[in-house]
Amino acid sequence: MASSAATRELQRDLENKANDLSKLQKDISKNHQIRKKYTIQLGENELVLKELDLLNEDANVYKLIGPVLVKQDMAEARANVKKRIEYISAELKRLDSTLQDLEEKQNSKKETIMKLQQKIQSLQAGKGKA
Amino acid sequence: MANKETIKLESLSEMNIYQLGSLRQQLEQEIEILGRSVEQLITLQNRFKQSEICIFKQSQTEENSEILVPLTSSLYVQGTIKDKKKFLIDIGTGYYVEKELEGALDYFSRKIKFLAAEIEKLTKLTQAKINFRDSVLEEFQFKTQQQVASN
Repeated sequence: MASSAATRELQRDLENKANDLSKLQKDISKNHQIRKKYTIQLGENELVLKELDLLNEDANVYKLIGPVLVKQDMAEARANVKKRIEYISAELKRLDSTLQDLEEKQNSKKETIMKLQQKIQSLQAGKGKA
Repeated sequence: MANKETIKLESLSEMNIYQLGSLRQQLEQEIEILGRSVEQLITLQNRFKQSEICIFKQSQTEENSEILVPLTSSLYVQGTIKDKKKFLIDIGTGYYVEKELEGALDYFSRKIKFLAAEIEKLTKLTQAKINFRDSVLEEFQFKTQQQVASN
């Protein structure tokens, strides 16, 4: 009887851990999505910067703000895009470290879950014998 | 990438049917995604080509010729071409650049070339994946037959 109570206890524990794991996995997939968005933006900004660098200093550059095109200073436009690239790269690095963190957590969770399952199995096997 | 695949190719014979099956599924998915990407790139390339043609045609028109500008799909207003050699190009992230005819044509031909290179890269990668999938499939069928024979 004592062993079945222990088993129940372990099973509840296992359920909690499994929930934690699925939460972690959700966070990881969310992280992947955000990273994909940022990577696309980074690529676009790099293309824009390349294009701006090809232009003459006196070329006319406009920025679309709402429905209107506003004339921009060339140097300002370049600085703006560079700043954006820096920001996105920093953001991507940050996402990388969170992702690593999450993956480590996920792995340790998986391990504890496996251990719990083994424990439950051995308990049940012992009960079967007795 | 290629290195990893050759290693995999050698270890195929050591994999069991389930592993081969899941590997094949994974490859199928990758091939599908790659195929879709290539399609998107081709659509984009065609858009650039169209813009290039438009610019060229525009430069052939008479200055001060009258045009009808579409405001919606069914409403047009009259306009005149004031300068047929200046174009405003959307270079992405909300930035627009004014370019002369030559610069505009150059922009589009560069973009088209860039996309062509990307398309070729992806097509090669897809082909490599397809080849790999085929060898996985072969091994899979071989193993299945073996199992049937041994039963």
